[in-house]
Amino acid sequence: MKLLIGLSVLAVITMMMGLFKSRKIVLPVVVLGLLGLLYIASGYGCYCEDKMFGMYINEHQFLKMFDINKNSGLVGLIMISGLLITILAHKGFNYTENHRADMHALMLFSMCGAVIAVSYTNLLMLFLGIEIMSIPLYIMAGSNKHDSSSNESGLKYFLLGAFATGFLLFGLALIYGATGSFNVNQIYNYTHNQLNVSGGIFKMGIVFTMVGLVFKIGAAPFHFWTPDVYSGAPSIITSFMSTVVKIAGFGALIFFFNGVLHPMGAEWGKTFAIISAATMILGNVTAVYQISLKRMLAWSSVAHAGYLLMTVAANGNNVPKAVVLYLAAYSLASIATFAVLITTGKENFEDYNGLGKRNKWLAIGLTISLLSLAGVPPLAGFMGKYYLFTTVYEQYPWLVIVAICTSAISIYYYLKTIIAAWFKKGSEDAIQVPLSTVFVILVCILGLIALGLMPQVVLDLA
Amino acid sequence: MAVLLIFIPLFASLLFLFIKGSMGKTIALSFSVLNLIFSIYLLSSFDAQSDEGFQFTFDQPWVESIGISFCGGLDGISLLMILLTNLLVPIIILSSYGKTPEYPAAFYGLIILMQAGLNGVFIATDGLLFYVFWEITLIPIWFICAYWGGENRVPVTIKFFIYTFAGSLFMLVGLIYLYLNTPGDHNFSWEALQMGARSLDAAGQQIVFWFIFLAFAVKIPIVPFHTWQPETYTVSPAPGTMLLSGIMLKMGIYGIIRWLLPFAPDLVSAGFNLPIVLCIIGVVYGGWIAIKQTDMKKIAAYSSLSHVGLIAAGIFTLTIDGLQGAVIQMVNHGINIVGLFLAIELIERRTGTRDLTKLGGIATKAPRLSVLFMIIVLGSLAVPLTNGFVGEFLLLKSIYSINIYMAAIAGLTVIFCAVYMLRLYNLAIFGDVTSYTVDIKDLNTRETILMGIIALLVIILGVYPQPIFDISKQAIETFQTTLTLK
Repeated sequence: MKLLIGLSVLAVITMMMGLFKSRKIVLPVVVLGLLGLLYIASGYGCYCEDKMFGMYINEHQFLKMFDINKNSGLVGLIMISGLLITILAHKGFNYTENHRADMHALMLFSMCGAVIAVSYTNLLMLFLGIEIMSIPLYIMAGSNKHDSSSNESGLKYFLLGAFATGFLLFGLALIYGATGSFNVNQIYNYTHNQLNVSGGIFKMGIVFTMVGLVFKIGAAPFHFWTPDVYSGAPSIITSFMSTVVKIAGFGALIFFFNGVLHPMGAEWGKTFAIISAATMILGNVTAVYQISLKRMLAWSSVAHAGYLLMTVAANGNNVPKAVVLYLAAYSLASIATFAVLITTGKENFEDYNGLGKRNKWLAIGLTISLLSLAGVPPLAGFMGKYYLFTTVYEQYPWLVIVAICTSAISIYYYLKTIIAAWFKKGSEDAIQVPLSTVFVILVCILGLIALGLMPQVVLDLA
Repeated sequence: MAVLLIFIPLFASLLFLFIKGSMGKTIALSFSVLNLIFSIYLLSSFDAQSDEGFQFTFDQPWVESIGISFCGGLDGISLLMILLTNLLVPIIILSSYGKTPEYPAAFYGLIILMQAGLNGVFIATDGLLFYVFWEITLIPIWFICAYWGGENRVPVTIKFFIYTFAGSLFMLVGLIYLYLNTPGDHNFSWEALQMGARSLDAAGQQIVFWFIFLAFAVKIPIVPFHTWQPETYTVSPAPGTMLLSGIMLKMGIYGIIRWLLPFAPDLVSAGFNLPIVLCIIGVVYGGWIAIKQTDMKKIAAYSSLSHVGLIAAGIFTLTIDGLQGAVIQMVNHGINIVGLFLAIELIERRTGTRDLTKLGGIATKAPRLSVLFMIIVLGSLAVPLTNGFVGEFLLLKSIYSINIYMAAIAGLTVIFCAVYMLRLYNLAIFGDVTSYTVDIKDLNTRETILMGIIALLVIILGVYPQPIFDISKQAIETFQTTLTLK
């Protein structure tokens, strides 16, 4: 709870600072604030013994029941990714010099929503969390006012997102109608006690909720917004969307399905298996044909959602561990890649020709993070993939085969970027990298190597 | 102790990030020689009579909750592979001295990183650790081939990368499948995986066999998974080709012995001839195509395809002769093929072409090159008293004991090899001097020493192959008890 309050207060303070034109100190304040909150998160988690606003945060009973210590890992991941992106924003927000403080505030509000979305124990909070997270995003996606694609991205995201939220809300209402409660314990009991839930209303509710959540994580067949929104939005916002928002979306999804609806796994598991296979195939195959690195990353983020959904389908006991490890690897690699993207300010593959000659270290960072995304050992991405495969193999061997084949496809477009960076000839002007970006890339790369060598750290956390 | 063989080059390779210019090659050479000395030291303290399995072992828990440990050790077979690797890497580094590549620091750093990965592959006794090293070797070799390679290198090397990467992923699934069948808390150690394999039924062993086989079949390569190989060998820079053909290919063969056969014991010991047939198809196919080529590198590439097909076929016979022959031939093929590519590279450096139709008359102009080249060619031909003979003889004998017709077909390799090797030598070295070879220079001292070492090895190991038998005998006999060989 302290974490949530702290995040909101920090956001309000940041907003005020915009009012008083104290642009220079915004970033240090936000960074320090986030560091402090990270400390709180590491100490307490957000399960303090209080019940404010009707949010039943203290649900130890519930946690024991599923044996999922569900949030500490994901909350930590949200905070760390948020912090890294905030530091990156030092350069990333250059396009909107006058609104720096506002943007930081929006980002903090969005993180607030993300934290709620992964730590809800009441479905109303799930909805609120998703909304609090999304509404600032709609604004941020369209924040580059003079760029028409940014405007398009904001509008598209808003319209489609609002539509999907409608589905989510409708689904939650139906579930409430069937079970008589928003409380996850009671819904769990409902599904647990009536294994053959015959209620059409309840099942309808599940389907609608599924649509709403699958939209948020950008999986097929509700992925159509991702490429346009991701590539239209300013890069820094895209990095936020593809990491923090994805973590929150998956946190909400796995908790709802692998936690609350765990006993009914047999009924919705196959649906997720098919969604997952479709997402992996679509994401990877389409990514091959992109000519813009940013768009390729958007499609690859669709593909990664597909890999993650495999675990949701498998519905085993290790789901949270696998998801946290994979998301950690994915987020670090994505942030590093976007850091390079923001530094060069260019989006097409050919703009990356000869990057190795322009700045060796930037190219090394890009290479390592792309190799990790592709799942090459000994980097974190490999450990994440390995863990996913082990979790899924017993239930859905065919899904693992699909994942392998699509991974083999994915290596092509990651290599394409690496080839552009090292082997092709391009502009020879040296690139100056600001210190903040150097720091972010360094942290991400070290994190990727460390997680690859010591995945135990994250596995213990989850 | 053996773990140093991994960590010395691993940390040395990081050093290259901060080195500029041509200092790199001296440092790379000294580190690789250090490794060679160290592996010779291991050889001297290796107890060939001991039947305790692995020696120089180390075992550190790595990811305990999922049963992965950082463990390794050497037995006779892997020790030979370690010796081969650390002997060839300095030779390969030295061979590139005459033609310093662009960005030497990066180039040599990648070679040293490659050495770390290769040593890791041969040392690891944990399934996942083996997989990790197996993949680590792919990154540096890909960069070497794709950056310093010849014309058309990007599509060719992408194909190579995707092929091997996909194959490896299938191996990963095979290993995961085995791992999920290991007793108790699942565990990735070699022994545990073997136990898991014994508990599998026939269908399970089929799955494990084919999934893991795919990775090795791509790497070796066995027909029909070979299509990446000739092109990649041709476009790669000479050191890359030597690494690929001399050492990396042995990873696949070693993998079959250590990481494939014990994991499908009932399947392979019950007259399972399909892999042998595939291998023999490769023997004939490679040899047949090599006869028609005019590019010297292509001839060597297809000859390699043909030779390793025979080695793999020998292993799948599961006879003592076959395994012994395969182990010997792995070492000898490594030496011969590196020598062959070295000779081709030296000729190409002098004349600027590898095309047989443009070469000729080198014998009179460069006698030292011609003589040393001849010895290496004779080694590949498996002429008695050269190193190729013993291994090839044992391999053919083992196939004969399985099926006489297969042996007859596989025996064609000797004839094919004589045809394409002598044709290569004849067209390149004898005949009339052409405009390309008019002012060809003979070997300088460094090159003479380099070729001389290889030629000497060809002869020594041909006349007296006993040391290799001695080192590997015990390991192969242990293998026999576990697999109940015929």
